[in-house]
Amino acid sequence: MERFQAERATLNRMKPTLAERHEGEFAVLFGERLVGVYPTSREAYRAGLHAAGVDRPFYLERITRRPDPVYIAGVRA
Amino acid sequence: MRQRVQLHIDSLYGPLVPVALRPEPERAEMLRNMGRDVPTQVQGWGLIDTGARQTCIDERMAHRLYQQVGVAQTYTPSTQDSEPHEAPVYYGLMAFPGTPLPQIEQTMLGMALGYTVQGGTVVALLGRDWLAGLRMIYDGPTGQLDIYV
Repeated sequence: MERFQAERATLNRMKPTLAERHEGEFAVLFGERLVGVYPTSREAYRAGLHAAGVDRPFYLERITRRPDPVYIAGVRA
Repeated sequence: MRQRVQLHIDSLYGPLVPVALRPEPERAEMLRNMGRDVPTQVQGWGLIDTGARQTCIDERMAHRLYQQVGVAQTYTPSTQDSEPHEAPVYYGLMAFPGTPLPQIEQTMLGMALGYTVQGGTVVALLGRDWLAGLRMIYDGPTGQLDIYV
């Protein structure tokens, strides 16, 4: 199973609604639960950390209507 | 008035900046409070890469120091058939020891870096998200890099 598959699926379902009021902000999910939406990635990370603890993964993503792929021209992955 | 950081450019290796990858402070504090080991920082080079939209870090270092918080669709020169592939997204802190450059705390992409140049390891690509807050002059003939903070 791909990493964060459940979280991404949950967020994709919520995105149209979230994007109406929170475009450019950061969503945090712990499992399939939305922890919250935060103006900065720093606030989002810390909220995720407090919700999940240091050992369990949580998911953080910037809310955009159309997520663009990231171009990395100078590196061979 | 902006502060100037002067660095030497090696024409073979490009604009290198000293970097230190450090665990995110709040997570480090939580680990300490639990009596657990906090990963020690890793020092190396950051290569300024105007072709990279987002700052990247060496995947092996990231796995040791940082927490993965997502995945991103990426295109690189090695991407086949114009299809993006997924790269892990980490959250962590990067400092620039010996310079007045402000440390950053943000998401970064994990990539296969970790090659050795000039007595150090390239552990980061500093992308346009990092450059967005700075002014940089790359003077090839004199081999000088000026960054204005």
